Amino acid sequence: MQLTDYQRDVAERTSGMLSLTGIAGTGKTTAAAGRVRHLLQSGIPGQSVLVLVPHRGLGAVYQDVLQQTGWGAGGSPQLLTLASLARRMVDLFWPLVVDDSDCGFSDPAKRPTFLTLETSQYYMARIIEPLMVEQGYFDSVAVPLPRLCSQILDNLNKAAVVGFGLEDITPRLKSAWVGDQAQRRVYEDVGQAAMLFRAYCLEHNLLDYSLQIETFVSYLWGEPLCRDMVLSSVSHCVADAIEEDTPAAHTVLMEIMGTAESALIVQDTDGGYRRFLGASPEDTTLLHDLCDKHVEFTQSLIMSPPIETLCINLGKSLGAEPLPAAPLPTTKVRDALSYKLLPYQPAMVGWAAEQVANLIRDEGVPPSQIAILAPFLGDTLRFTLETELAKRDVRTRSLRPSRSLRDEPASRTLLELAALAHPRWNLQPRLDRIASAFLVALNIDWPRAFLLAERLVTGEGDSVQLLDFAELPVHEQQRVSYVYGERYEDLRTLLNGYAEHPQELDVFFSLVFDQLVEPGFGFERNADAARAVDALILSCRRFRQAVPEASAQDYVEFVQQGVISARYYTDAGQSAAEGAVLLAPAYTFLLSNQPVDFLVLLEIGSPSWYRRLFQPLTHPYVLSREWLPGQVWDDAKEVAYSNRAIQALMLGLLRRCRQGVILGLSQVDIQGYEQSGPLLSSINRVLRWAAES
Amino acid sequence: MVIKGFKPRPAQRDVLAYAQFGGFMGVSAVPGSGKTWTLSLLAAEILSTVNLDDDQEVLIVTLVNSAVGNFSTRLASFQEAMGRLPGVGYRVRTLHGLANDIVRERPALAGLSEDFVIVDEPQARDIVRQVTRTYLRMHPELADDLVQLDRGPERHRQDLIHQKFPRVAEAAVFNFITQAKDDGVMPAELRHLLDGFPDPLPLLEMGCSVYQDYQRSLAYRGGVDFADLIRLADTVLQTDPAYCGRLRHRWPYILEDEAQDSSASQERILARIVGENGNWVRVGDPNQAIYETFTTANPRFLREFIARPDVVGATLPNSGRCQPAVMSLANHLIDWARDGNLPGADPALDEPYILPTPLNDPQQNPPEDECAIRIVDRAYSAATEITDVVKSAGAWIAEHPDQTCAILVPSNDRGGDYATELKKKGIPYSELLRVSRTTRETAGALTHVLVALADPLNGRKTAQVYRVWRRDDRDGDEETVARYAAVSKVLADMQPEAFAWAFAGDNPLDDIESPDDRVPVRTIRDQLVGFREVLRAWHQAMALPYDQLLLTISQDLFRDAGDLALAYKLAQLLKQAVGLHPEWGIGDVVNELREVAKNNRKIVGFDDAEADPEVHKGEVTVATYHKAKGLEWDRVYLTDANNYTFPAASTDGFRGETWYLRNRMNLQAELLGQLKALTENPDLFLYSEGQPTLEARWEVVAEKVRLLYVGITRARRDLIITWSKGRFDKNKKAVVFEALRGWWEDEEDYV
Repeated sequence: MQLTDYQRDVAERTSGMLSLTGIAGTGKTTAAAGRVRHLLQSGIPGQSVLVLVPHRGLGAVYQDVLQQTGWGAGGSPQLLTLASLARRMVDLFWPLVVDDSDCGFSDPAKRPTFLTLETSQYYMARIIEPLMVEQGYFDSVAVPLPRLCSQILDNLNKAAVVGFGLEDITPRLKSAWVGDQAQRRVYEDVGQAAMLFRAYCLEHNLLDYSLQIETFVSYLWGEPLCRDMVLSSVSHCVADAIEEDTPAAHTVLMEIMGTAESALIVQDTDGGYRRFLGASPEDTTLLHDLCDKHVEFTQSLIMSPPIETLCINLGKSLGAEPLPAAPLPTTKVRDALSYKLLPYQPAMVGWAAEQVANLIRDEGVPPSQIAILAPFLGDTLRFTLETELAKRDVRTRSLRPSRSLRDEPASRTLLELAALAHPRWNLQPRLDRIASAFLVALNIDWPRAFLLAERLVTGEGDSVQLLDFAELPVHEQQRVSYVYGERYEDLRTLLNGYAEHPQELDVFFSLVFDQLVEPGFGFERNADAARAVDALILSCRRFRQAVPEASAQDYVEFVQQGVISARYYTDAGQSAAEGAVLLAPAYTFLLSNQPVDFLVLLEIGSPSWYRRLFQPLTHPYVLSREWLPGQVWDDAKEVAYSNRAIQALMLGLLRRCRQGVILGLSQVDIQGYEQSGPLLSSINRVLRWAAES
Repeated sequence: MVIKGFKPRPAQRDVLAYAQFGGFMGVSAVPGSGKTWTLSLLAAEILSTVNLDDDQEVLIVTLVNSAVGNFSTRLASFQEAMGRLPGVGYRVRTLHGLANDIVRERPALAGLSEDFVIVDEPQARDIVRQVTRTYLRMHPELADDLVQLDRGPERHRQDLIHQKFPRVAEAAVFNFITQAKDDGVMPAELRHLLDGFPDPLPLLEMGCSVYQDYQRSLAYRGGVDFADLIRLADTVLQTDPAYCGRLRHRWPYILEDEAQDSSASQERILARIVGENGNWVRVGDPNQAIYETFTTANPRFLREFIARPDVVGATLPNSGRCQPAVMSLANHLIDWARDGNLPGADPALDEPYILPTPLNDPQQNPPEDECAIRIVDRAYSAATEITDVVKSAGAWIAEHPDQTCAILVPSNDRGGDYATELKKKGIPYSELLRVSRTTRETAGALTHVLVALADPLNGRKTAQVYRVWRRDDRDGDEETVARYAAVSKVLADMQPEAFAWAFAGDNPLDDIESPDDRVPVRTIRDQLVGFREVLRAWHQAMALPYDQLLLTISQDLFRDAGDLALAYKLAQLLKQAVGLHPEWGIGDVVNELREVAKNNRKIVGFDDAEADPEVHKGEVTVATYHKAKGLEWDRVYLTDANNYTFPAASTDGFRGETWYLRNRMNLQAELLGQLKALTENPDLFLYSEGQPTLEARWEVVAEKVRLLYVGITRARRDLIITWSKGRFDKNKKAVVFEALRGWWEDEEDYV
């Protein structure tokens, strides 16, 4: 790790409180990681070093440092988010929690059940579905049930991380609303649903994210036993990206800074990309005030002069504040930019793939130094990008949630086999879907998989069964081949054996997985399948543990309906080393904080670049700490917010780019609607200035 | 003037002068008067003379996607001619596109999530169908009450009650829901009114109940239908004046084309954006209002707008399109409609008459030719009309390869029959039917491939996949066609798995023989090797979700950007459908695609691309009367001018009226009549059973006359009108046909 002099100053200052600020790409995180390394190399026990980050993805840089440095006898530093700290403490100090009646948990004898987002959604759905059907709750909005649940949960989470009561959710949202007055009633429904959910959780010792945070921050953090344990374990603290963290995290951090020997807090001055999750950049002032030294990094270590020129011009075009005084670059905007307008999205995808392949092939750019970004990377766009790039021998990795379980071939296969192994579920077998499961599981071709499914899967509903391969006429056995026949028999034996002694569904998945990684079978040396199955097993197990009364069939149905998707983030860090082009939504790329040489921005005509994530039942600003009671969220605020957001987004992207930007634009989007969002106008303006100059 | 050398006609000059003054203007334009051209010019004129801010645009609102394309292309060329960047400073939208823009910018205001889905019409109808049928099963008394049969066995009556009536009811309820939304009446309000009404209204009760369940079903999917999109855009603008104000700033000028087909909600939305002192030009031709029946459009809105004291009225009466004889016929139709030959208070057609272009106008009308108009008074059967018209059109186009010709038909099905006959006779043709040919071919190609992949052990099906993959070879030279056939034959005789997935050591391609001496074995082998790669990739893709399977196939199957975009859209629709029906197998997916391929299911957003007749010279275009609007051909055939297509007399059959319902009631009209009576004034409840059916009949008569007017004015030189007795040999010639024929013969005699 090479550090500049000013980075080294930050890294090697291991006493006192230091605040480090600056725009993206100025080397703040590198300096902070350098400090962790320096601490460890100075002999400070790793266990006494706390690295606090707002989300796990940001920990990757520190993990790399630790891997390279090792942590010696003092153990590994604590790499934590507020959520992981909260959960750890609640688990550890549970007896304290249940003993106190203020916490409200009903059953002191029972251990807590920590809910995942999915299992929280499941319980929320159970609570609100009857209200919708019987009492017309949420009638005035058109939002699918899973989204309704996630938005109400989001409100609970915001209340917890911002620090207001559940009873404030409805008044806040109602008083800020400017639309149809009849629509206000829906916020009563929201508040009611949140209360009922919380009551249910307390009654059954279920802890969703909000209750974990609230129990920790509002109760355990006030308990000397818990608090002392945390504070006494931290001598040195590094808190990165504090602008992306929540007020609750800031509160805890502030107290840690009060007792630690040293602390470094790092803030990106343009950040705040996680507001929709409760992040509060404005809330960091008190943290900075605690510091005895303030350092600001101003010089980009990333942008080349043409990118810097583009950044300045685009910032101007978007109406951003002027950049800190620095000599204006003299290079031309067009040196940093290439673009093409194409009629439709497929043509744009093909063109972008060709540009990327050219960069790699002709200019020797490492694939890992190229990121392809879109405002939202939908399944269709991702899939077509992957296939177009694969045609050109370009490998890809995605930094976005995986496909839903029902869309991953490996998990689809296991779900289909599960239906075959559980005839009592009485599901209607679909020939092509069983054949497709054989295709993947047995690693055979489609016609032979189809033949096996067509001839050997008989019966319907609860009498469905797999016949012996030997029951095929000999000429058909030969057509399939005995090698494949043997694989089929192995699988059949496993499924039939299981059907006689059924176990938990996640155990079934594990058993089948063990079979399918055997030589010749479909999951042998298949890392994608392993990841997907791992997610499936984990999701299934958590569901079983959190919802003991639900059946295995319930789980499968929830997956099929998309209620449970168990989307997981692929390990981009690991794949990066393998030389693959990154595909990601723009904000996810920003939050990963890994600069690249080339950015490919797709669908720049899409208005989505400009807009926040709209959710009718929640609101990132109205439920933030800065929101003043009685304010109204009107159009002027929306516009001001959008303007700030697009400025921050585009400048954030360009400041993480070294050499060039490729813009892909299709005249109409995949729905057939013409695209002419504000970003396009801003880029047009930059091009016009460039042409005029 | 923005375009160098362009001299506007005096009437056009009046319209273009608007750029200097602004305000409200209403323009009545006759067919062929160049209103789209004039409106484009006006937009260009505004852009060149008014200083708009960087964030301001001239907003042009039109009716269909093809018109959006026409406007965009034309405006881009004007902009380029003026040395400006095309695509900047203006926005062209359909009403749906505009509503989509408005709602997408602030979806939460409309109670929607960021990624709300737009449920397309077939899906919406499907939901209404399910909900209506459930309702009717639970309320059998409704059908018992309405279905009346004087004679016939009980079995027949039961068939009507359980099969036919539900179909009529679901169509009526669907349109009822659309109208209710256009009126801004939501289910809760309707329920409240119904609950407070003293008497039972079983019909409206059905409408309200289905409406409620339908909305719930949409909400469950996080979706809105097209009517919702427009209603919500209106609501958003109404409830957030600041947002509305921002849009007013963004679009300081609104130019509305085809304003005769505007609906109440379209007018409300545009009026809100324009504000009291804004700039709004509405151009249309009330004589060409042909989307009134079964929709919420009404030419009354344009007429009333033009009549407002604060609106400057203008006319574009000159048309250089048609030869004088065609214009005379069209103008006579106006006279006939005004002379009390039709029922109803408002005349179906009204002034202005079509006038020729002035002397010295660059676009002079084609020379007069009385003989070019033929009104054929022969009682054709449905089949002989097709054969005779096709024969005539084929012969004419062969003699006039540099000219354009169209056969206009009343329905898509009838158009399909004409297309089949043209194809059979080897006459070059193009189509303008509900679903574009490209769309159907794209969906058809994908359907064929999926059907074959779903039966992978069948060699003939594998050969079918090959034929789709190499479909362009069918039209190749003799050698190519022979190769195409030979490879297909070889494939059909092979076991697919042995061909595509041979075991190590086997090479089935070593043993093939050519079935055609003209095609060497080596050529066949080369083809098969290429095809095998593609087929293997598609076989592997069978493990993917259906939408991704479709994308994979499309990427190999299509080269044209438009085809590929369509395939993407199809894949996305499929993903949506599979999301709603997780139990679906590939058979269901194939059925869904077949609906598109069979012309039954329109794909919104990508159709209408083939509209320009000038690129189809030397071909016969088959178009519905409706799709022909806005277009012109040198020769036009107006077919099926019978009393079913153009009803007028009380003895004629009227679409919507159901013979087995009480008093041959038009269920939809009655339903809408009750809705109107209850929402306007529940105390008075001005409704009398049968009256809405009668009024709907007048509307149909008037609209059909306008449809004929549109048909006539498509012809530049030659116009041939025929009629047939229809499928059941019981239709008669239309009253209006007879009126035109009589007048035309008198005219000819006079000449």
